[in-house]
Amino acid sequence: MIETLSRSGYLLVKIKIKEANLDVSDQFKTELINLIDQGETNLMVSFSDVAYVDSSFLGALVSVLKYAMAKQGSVSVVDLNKDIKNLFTLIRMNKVFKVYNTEQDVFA
Amino acid sequence: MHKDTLSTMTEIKRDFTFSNDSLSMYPLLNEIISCLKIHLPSEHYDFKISNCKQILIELLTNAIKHSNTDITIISICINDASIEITKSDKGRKFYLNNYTGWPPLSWPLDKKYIGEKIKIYDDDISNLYAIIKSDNRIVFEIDEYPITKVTSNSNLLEHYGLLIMTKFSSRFYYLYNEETNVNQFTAIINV
Repeated sequence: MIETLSRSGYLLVKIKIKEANLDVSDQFKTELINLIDQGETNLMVSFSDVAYVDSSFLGALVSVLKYAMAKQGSVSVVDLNKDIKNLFTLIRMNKVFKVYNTEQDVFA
Repeated sequence: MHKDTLSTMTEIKRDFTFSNDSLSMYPLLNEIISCLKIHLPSEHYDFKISNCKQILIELLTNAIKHSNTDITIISICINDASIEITKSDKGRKFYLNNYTGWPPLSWPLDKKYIGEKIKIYDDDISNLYAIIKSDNRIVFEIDEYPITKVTSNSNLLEHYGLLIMTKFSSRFYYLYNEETNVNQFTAIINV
C-alpha cells in the first residue's frame, strides 16, 4: 500500500493506491505508525497516485501526525491533486500539515 | 447563473442507487460527476463540482459506515440557483449523541427543543453544531477558530465527515420523515 524512499532529513512515503478511503485507512495508519516506531519520525506523504481522499483516511493521517508530533517528529504532504488540495484548504488542514506542491519545493 | 450556460435552464433531477459497497463507490462517484459536468459544462463550475465531488465522497462513506442498510439513493437536483445533493435511506437515524440532557433526544424531536444548538464535535480549530430547526430537521453549522501553532498538545479531531459536508455546502441538513421512515442528508451548493 505504501512505498518508502529515504531522503536527507525525512522519509518519503508514497501512497500506492488510487482510492484513499475507509477500506485502507486503518492499514495506512498502522503502517505509518510502524515507521515512526522504527525511528522514521519525519515523514512526507506523497499523494501522487491518489484520486480522492475521504474523511476516514484524513482522520488516519491526523492520527499519524499526532503520533509523530508526540515523538518530536513531523508529517508533511506533497503532490495533492486539485480536489485533494481543495479539501485541505477548505477544512484548513493546510494549516495543520505542511503542504508542498512538489517534492522539489522542500528545498526551494 | 454563469453567462456560458443557458439562461433558460430547467430543473434537472437524477437518482442514483448505491449498494453501500465500497467497491461501487468510485464508479458511482464518477458517474454522478459526469452527470454534473454534462449539465454544468462551463469551467466556471469546476470549483463547485470539486466541492460536490467531496460531498459525494462523504455521503457515500457515511452510507457505508453509518446507515446500517443495503440501499442508499443519491439524488441530484440542478437548477439556476443551486446544486442539491440528497442521500436517502431507511437505515439508522442520525443520533445526537453529545446531547447530555434527559431524556435522550429521539426522532421526531420534541418541539420544545426547536432552536437548541447541540455540539457534535469540537477540537482546537473548529466546533460542529446541529441546530434543531423543527421536530424532524437539524441544520449543521461550524464555528472556526484561528489556527496558530499545532503541537503535540493540540486537540485535533479524527472524524471529519460531517464537518467536510458542512464546510463544502452552502447549507447542509438532516431530515427524518416519520411516515416513510426515510433519513435524508441534503447538501445545497449555491451556484
